[in-house]
Amino acid sequence: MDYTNYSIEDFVKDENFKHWVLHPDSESNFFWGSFLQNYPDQKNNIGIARSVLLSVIFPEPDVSPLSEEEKDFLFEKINTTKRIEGNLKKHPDATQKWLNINQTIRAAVILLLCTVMAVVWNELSWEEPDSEIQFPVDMITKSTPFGQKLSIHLNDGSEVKLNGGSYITYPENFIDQREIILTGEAFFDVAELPGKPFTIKTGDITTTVVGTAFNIKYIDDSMVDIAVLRGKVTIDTNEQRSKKQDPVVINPTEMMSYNPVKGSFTKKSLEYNQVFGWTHDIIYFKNNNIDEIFSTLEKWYGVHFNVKIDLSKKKDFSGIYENKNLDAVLTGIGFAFGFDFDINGKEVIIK
Amino acid sequence: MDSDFYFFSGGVPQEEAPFDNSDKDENVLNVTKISGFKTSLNYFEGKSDLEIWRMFISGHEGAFQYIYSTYIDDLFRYGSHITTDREILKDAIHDLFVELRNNHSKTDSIRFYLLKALRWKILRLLKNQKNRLDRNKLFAQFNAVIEISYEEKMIFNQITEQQLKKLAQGIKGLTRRQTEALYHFYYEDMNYKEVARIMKLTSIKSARNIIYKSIKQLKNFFKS
Repeated sequence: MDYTNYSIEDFVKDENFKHWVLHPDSESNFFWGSFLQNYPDQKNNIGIARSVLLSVIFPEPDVSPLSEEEKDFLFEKINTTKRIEGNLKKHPDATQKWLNINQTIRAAVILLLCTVMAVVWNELSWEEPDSEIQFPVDMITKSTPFGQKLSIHLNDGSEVKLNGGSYITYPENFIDQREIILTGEAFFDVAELPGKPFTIKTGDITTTVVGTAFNIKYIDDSMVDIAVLRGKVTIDTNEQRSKKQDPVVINPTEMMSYNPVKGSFTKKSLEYNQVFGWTHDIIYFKNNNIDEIFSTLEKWYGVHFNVKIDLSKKKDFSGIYENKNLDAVLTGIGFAFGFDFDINGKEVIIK
Repeated sequence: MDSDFYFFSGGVPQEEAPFDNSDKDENVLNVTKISGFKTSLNYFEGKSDLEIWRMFISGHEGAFQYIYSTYIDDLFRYGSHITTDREILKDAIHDLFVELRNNHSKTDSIRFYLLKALRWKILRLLKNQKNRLDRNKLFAQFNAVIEISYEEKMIFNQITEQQLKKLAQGIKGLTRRQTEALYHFYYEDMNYKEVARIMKLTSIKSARNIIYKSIKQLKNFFKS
């Protein structure tokens, strides 16, 4: 874009210019600041164009913003609608057919249904009405900040251990529908329930299990790691499912990495403490460089490292820490790398 | 290393595992139902729209919640330019988010995606209003007003009051469509492509045309 010959009108019409004037940020301030220094001839045009844009105002209509209660209420309503519609969707064919039947038959069907219901009611009493359609499935979300973990006992008898910085969502009544959505890292010890598969959705891929213990790590969409301790796990991607391909099987003591960008699976060697150590509060380093170590510790203890000195990136480090506080861990690592440290609340200064 | 396997031997630890904090479960960590609003959302801060959107599409409830709480005020404010009917605005936002779960396409600007979807939700609701007499009055009346702030000239001192008055006069002569395009371009900080998309214009060129023509009409000001 050659702004050197721009007229006032040109500037007013320019996307980047108006963005800078009306919504300045550091990037645009830098660009237009340097432009003005280099082309002082344009100072006048820019000044006028700027004044024009700033003197034009778009008043807001007289409607008071939503209150916090209104926002909460609306959000709740959105979620309730979702669940009801979600459940109805399970029977799209039935609904469609229902709508196509003409009035007379529909009345007959209602009548018939009433009769059947009356009979059923007599037999079964009030206690167990078919709640499939009428009642929404309540979903629960649990999350952990960095530096904290969480044990969750699901009502099907399964156990989930959620590592720091993770999220899971699952239905409140977990026995009917054993489906979990995970972001982050979790260890699952799954109770066997024949005919009730246990599935975990992580981005693009779905892991299905029957009675097993395994670890899934899904931090972002760059990689999903699934390691199996006991039992057997199958995983498949959305693409595999749509193409009806067989899922990938992972056997005990195996670990599989899925790369969503390439859509490829890689089998990896499994070092017990490296993968499962966190479930016993074990930090495990094996030939890790200092950046990897700081990154692990930041997540583990929920702190931030402020490194004030140059540290060798080539040096690597191995070690196991079981249930140790940050001070104890850093003393050892500091000795190996030759640094000193100060822990000020959430900030750790390396000097 | 074998001793590490104790935990998994029967699914239940034989001795108290250091990890086991299940009894503090509820008070130490964030535990919320989705319908609650208190989950820590700073998890998403600093993440790109593309990333948050991808997490939302993959079923991440936290991402959905984050999108709602980040954009709700902006959506309501934007919608109030189309109608000042609070209930219609809430209904439209409700419909927008319910539909969003089931039906969404890719986007790299969540804000634009939502504004655009909301606009058409509101217009549809207005169109379906039972009162047919009101219908014409309500439909597509984008309430963008342009005014001139005379105080700004004190700060910039680049234009005279005379010039500003001319500008204000010129603005009165703009059509509703032109005002609306200017509103989206300047006030909502959209680019030409986005103006074209949100107003359902046939091309970026027609968005440019509307805005260029509006500026041209105001050109008297620039010449003086």
